[in-house]
Amino acid sequence: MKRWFLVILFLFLAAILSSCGRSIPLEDLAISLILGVDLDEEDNLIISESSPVFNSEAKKKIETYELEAKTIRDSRRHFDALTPGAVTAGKIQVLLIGKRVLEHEDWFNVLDTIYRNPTFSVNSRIIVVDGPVSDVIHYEPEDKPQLPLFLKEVIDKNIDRSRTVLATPQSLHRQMYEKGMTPLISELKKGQDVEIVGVSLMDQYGKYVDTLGMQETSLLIILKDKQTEELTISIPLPELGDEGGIFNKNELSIDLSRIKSKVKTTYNQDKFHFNYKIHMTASIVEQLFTSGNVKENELEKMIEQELKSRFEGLIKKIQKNKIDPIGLGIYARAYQYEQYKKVEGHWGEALADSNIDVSVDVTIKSTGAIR
Amino acid sequence: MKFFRKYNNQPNFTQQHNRNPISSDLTENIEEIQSIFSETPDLVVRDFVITHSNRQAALVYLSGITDSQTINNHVLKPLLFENGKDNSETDLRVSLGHIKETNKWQQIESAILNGECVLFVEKRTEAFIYFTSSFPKRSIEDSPIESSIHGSHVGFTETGGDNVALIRKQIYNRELKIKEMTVGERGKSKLAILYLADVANHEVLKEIEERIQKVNVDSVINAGVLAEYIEDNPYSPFPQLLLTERPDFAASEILQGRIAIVVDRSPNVIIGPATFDSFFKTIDDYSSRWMVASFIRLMRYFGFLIAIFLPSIYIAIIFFHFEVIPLKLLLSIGESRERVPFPPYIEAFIMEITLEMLREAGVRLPAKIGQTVGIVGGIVIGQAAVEAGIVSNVMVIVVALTAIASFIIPNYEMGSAIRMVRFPMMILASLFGFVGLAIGLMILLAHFIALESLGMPYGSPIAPLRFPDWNDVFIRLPQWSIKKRPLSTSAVQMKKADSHRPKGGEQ
Repeated sequence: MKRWFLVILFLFLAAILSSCGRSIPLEDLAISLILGVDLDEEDNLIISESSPVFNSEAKKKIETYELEAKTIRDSRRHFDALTPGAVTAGKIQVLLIGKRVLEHEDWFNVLDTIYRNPTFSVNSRIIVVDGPVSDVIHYEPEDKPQLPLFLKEVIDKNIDRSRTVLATPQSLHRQMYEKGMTPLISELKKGQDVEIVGVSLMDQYGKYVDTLGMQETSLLIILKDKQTEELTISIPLPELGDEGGIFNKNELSIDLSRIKSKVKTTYNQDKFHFNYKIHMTASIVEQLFTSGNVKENELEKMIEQELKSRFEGLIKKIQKNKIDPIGLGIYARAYQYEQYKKVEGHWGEALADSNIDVSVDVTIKSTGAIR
Repeated sequence: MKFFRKYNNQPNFTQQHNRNPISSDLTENIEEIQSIFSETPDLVVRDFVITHSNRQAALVYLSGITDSQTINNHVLKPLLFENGKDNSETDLRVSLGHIKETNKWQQIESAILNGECVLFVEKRTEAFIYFTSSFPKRSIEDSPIESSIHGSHVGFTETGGDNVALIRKQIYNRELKIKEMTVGERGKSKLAILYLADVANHEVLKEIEERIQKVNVDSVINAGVLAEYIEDNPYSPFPQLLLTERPDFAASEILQGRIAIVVDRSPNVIIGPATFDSFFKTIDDYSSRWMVASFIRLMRYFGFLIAIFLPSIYIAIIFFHFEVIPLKLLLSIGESRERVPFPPYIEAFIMEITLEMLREAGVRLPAKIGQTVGIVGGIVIGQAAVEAGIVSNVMVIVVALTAIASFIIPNYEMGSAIRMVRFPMMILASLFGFVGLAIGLMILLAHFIALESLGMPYGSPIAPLRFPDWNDVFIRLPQWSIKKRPLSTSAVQMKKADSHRPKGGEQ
């Protein structure tokens, strides 16, 4: 008797328990896959959203809305009025931010709800759009998968090949509040097609400063020591003399692996000194000149020379803009804390004054399957 | 409660026996027999005169369950026609091995019911019981439920004596002891408790005997009924005693130190104390190589989890946690769910219940019709239901996976238990999502840990953790590395092997 009483009591208590809030089956949701944040010409905040349509009778498989709202959360009210499903943010794949937004200093607060609301996905990819977001979000190519899938796959593939950086709300949050570095976000632009450009660099307040192309981004990734699966660089070797003609005869492509970049941080003569020592193993995957002309160690030297000048160019660009996307400030804080503490508030300028040396050491591991 | 008590007070079903010994008067005895077996047309009473002693005698037996050949050739023929040269009165010449003498009516009655024939002789105060019984029985066949690839193709039959013989055939050892008991006032089922005297734990044996003695019923139809009477926790979904149809499996469990109960008239043998992992073992695990066996065994445990949790995970994901689905899958699930007008738990219940009904229909129907039901059911579920928009494609996959996963469990009882447990899980998932599933899992685990089989821990060697016994639980290590019996049987003699394995390549 007592057993049955317990069982019935348990069932009763279970039935009146409130569960995980509201439960809506997934087909009744409007699952936002892309969220766009942009400013129009009059600097009004434009929020756009794109979610899949599950109805088999619908012609278009994806519905996209764009509207003016005060905040991101406020925009949900307007979206709910437009779509049959309940708009949810749990599965946002791509967060597009217009470059016009980044040109204002205090734009980051707009994203507050992404961090405050735990149902927001923190693993979405943040991408800066060079140009209006609406061009991208309304882009419906016939020969490509649906836009959210397409964008995410394009960006992930380029991250794997070390051509752009992974920027998620989580990493962006850290970069924004980290004084030893400035944020960087991958960037795309809509020309004929939507294409990845590289990364946008921002200053410590989040304001847009400059854009790095894909090759420069690869080098930046080496400096950050964050290379992923594959890193290929194609460089001309000007020392081989001629321009190469139509077929770029002095061009060389190398696959870099086992990259070790070490930074030595010192402070003297009122300056920070960063001494980069980069070791890498290269395997030649493409070489348009005949190899008989050059010995292997000469080739190594040439590659080292070329890469070194490129690294220096990149560092010059960074120093000129008074930003620190590499995160050298973190090294400075770790090794020269007292000196760093003095310049913490304006680290970008301190880095611009500092002295960054790069030495590259390349070992050719293989020259490929043919001679 | 009063209502029930009134009925419980009814007098017990006790049959009255004639307590007197049999009399020396033959006609009196035959009258007594006829009064005991009234309205028994198959009762044969053969009056005759024994040739060599010239005495009146009567042979009594039930015609259907005795072997008439034996009676004619070995009982009647010598008694009727042989003229003995020596005149010793006591010697009744029959050419049979198994002969008993008695003067108790109770024994005579049970002997006749057991197919033996009883000889009453004039002026003798004891009757002779000749073992001539021959019940109708089937021949020994492969077990249809527990079929195996490499194991022997022999299954238990309905005859208790044969079943004991089948186990004896596997264990040539004088320590294999058999205790006989009877259960059931009317049924009088004979039980034989088989164990290895120097291995099995005697406390467990005593526990079994005590529990069986407490069973006071009309009749025990088969081993399943008896198992239900003696199991530890009747409210548990899990079977706590192992039922098997395979003599080799029963013998291997006896050799592990467990105790087998052969129930006459049932093709199943009860084995206890059972542990959870013994429901996931088959005899094929030991005849195939250890890597293969381990892989299959791991799949069984995986199937166990899938069969319990997959439909509820589906419900929880669709209803509460769509975030965990990969994007591409999300799109296709959304598309196929869109046409379904029901919430996911109703969808799941429709499909699961349909499947259970189909399965049961297939079991009860004759094999040929059963196949048709399977095909029709498959088509109905697979195609038509999806096209009609009653269920989604993904649900069909989920249901099919669950069914396959539950059929991979070698023990039928355990498979059925799993199929049942998933329904409360589905309810929990539809109410509370993953939180509910976590709670369901914890309740299941708590119950699993507390469960006992014949007083021994059911979860051993997982719940009372004992790593040395894990060599034959989730993976089966090579035979030569299993040197001890598992602790869960609490065997008296732990060591069972001492292998001196020849090293390959060494001469």
